[in-house]
Amino acid sequence: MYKIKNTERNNEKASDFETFSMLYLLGIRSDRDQIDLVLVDCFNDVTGSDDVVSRLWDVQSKGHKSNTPLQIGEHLITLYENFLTDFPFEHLILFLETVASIHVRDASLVIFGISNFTGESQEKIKEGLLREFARRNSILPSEIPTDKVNSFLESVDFVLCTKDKIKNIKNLIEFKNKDVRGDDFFIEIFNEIRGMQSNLKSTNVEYSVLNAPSDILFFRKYITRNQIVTLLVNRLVGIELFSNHGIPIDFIPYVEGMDREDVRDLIQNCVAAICRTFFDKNNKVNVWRFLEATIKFLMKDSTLGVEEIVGQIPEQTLRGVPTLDSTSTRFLIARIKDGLQ
Amino acid sequence: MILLAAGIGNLEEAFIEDRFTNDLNIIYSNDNNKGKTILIQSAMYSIGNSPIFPASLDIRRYFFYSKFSHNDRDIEFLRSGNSILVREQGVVSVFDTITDFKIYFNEEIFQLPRFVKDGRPIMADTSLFFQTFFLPQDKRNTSTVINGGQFNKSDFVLMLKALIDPNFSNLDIGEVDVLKNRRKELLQQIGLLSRRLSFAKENPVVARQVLQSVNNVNFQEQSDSLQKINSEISAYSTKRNRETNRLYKLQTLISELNSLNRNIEIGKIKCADCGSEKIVYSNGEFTFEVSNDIVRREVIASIRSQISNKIAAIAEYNNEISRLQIELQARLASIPAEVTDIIISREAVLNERDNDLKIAELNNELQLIEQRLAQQELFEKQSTQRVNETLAEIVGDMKRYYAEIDEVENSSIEGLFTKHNENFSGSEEQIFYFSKLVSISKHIQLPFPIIVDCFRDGEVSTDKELKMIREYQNLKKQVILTSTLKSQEYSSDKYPKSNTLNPIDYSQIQSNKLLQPSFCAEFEKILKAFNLELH
Repeated sequence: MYKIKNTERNNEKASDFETFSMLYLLGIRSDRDQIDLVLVDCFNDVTGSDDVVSRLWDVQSKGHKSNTPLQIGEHLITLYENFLTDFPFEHLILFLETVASIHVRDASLVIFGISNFTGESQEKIKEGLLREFARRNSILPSEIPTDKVNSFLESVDFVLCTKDKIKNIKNLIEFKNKDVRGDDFFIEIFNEIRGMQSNLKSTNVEYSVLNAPSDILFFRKYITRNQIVTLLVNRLVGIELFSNHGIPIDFIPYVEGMDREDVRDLIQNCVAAICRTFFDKNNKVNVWRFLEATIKFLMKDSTLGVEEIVGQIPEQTLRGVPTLDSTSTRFLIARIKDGLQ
Repeated sequence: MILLAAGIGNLEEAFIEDRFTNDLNIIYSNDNNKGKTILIQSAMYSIGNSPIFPASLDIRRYFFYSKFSHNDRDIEFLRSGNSILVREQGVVSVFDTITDFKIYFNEEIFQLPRFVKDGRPIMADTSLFFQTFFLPQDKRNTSTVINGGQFNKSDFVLMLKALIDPNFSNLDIGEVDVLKNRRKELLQQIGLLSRRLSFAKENPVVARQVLQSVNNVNFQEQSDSLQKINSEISAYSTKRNRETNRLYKLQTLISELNSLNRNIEIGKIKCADCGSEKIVYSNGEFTFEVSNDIVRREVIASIRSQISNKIAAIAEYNNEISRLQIELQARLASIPAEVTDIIISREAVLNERDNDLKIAELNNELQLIEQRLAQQELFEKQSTQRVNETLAEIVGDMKRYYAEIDEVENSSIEGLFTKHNENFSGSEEQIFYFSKLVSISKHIQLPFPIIVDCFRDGEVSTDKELKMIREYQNLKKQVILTSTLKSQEYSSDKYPKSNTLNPIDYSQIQSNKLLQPSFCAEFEKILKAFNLELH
């Protein structure tokens, strides 16, 4: 059983920081491929998870300019409380803006364990945590069993934020011509993700009780990796809709044997249809359904052909986007596939 | 649509009227400033009308609500600024601009009339359309439309015509143009081929020479070089035509996208209490926007640059074509006349049989097109006649009603509007508008109630008023009128409740205090039903 507490609403700067921690889970961590979704403001500021919620990457993010070891210890409180539950918190991560170099042994590391802190700092961290835990539970610090605290501290990853919005977004996927886009382009996407994250925060789940980890999915307070990837792919495909004059390799079978000028007409029509789809804000739910399905299949198996992808997308999803006729649908899938290769 | 309730308010003060019946409703009071106009305007504003509220009301502070029954479905509308929320069977749809709402209205409630304005087919604005059944208290002017914006009285007439016969101005002008163009092409081709055919028949000598000279080397060379120029010209023309076609499509696309784009940038619901934009749709499905500003800007910019590239390319092709034509002329001039003849007629002679078949084929197609155009023309003529007849009947009935109520021999009414310098006022104005609304309602079946704010202003005598009320009742549909009574009339219980008359008395409301805290709980319930949580 898990009782949700300490959810919070905060300002833009703090939101930025939480978005960084989400992007850290999805784009930087070496085990990022195993994280399918990120829960927002459920167990913690952000919590990575696989799609059935059998493994959790719990992140406490603290975007303060400076942190004393004592404060770092206090920041660990939610992670520690989660550690004590029987929910599968496999990874416990404290995401920090900076740690002064006097507190650590090797200041060049951006991801490290408790052992990188100086001995004195380690003691302070522990003290801060114990004090905070005691305060919250109205007990004395001395009443807390220290072996649990020690094994907890051993398992925490301390991560320093690389506060580069552009790099954080670029990290998320490989896509053809990605690097020719200006900084604005990536910052805007960062802001969109942040916006979505704060939308999700505004749904209040405080004091709800969960029997199983996967119950949390019911609240729909999560962003999936696929959504983020789809967002990026959509923006990258969108921005070069008219400026990319190439015919995607996977679209060539559809124009084989056609007159050159006829091909040019056909492609202009396809691109125009996609433009109308991307500019139509009244159908966004259906458009995303279609895009997410396409990208999900492509990510699973990049060798799938266009027809195979179309075949796997539910008929209803295809019909949900009336601005795309069958040729334009295939053209868009071919463009996406082309970009991802 | 039948109006079931109307309201206005925020969390501090509100008012809701839900006593309407599906008959003649008269909201009356013994004095002005009881809020009748605010109520009527709220109902209309909530379904997309442009506001004509009293100046003292700061409309940014309030939500405007109405509930209608439409084809046995209850539909609720809630407007704040330019955003309108629509709730039907528990589902809330959000429209951030009046244009978006108009599209919804057109698809789900009533197909808005379309007509041609400034050469372009457009859909009537809700504000213009509502004037077929709604008359506000202020800004009246019998010689033109009320609060018209971009629309004038001839647009109103065109709109009525479209309401009488939706096909009237909905004729697909584009298709007729295409047919006409194709007819022109066919006639040209048939002419050319016929000339070739007759040339071969009428000039047997040349024809024979042609047949003999086909193998002559010198002739062949000359001929080939001319052929080459000719085919180059035709290749360039094809390219130019296709590029022109693409250019038109891009230009259309860009204006289409621009208008979508504009919609995207404006209209956000704000909390009326604190001005915050943080109003949460508590059960909405969160998704990203399909595109963002940067993407949209980039797309528009690339289309623009393609358009200018195409314009340049088309100019290039044109230059190339005229250069080749000059060259062709020069070549032809240097070749002996008889050889030119032979070259030109070679086509004709060698392909005589083919030409015959081709002409027959083209003639068939021409015939089909002629038939369709004739049909279209007949249809247009009939439709125009029918529409004009009905329009004349509407005006005729207007005159009749007017004469009847005003007890005059012959009214000076000549059309749906008075002449520019002939503005009716006082009781004449009331009777004019009455005649117009009733006559329109009689001839065009519109599924909306008749709503007249202040229907007897300007010293309309009791006698005339009773006649008007009777006619409104005869319409057998929901009618909502408002009226301010003199104290003497008020005390005599002027509008007795009956099966067909539903009097609603506003006299008890304190002057200028329509909005009251006592309605807040109910109004908040309405806001909640729209998933609006103000904080």
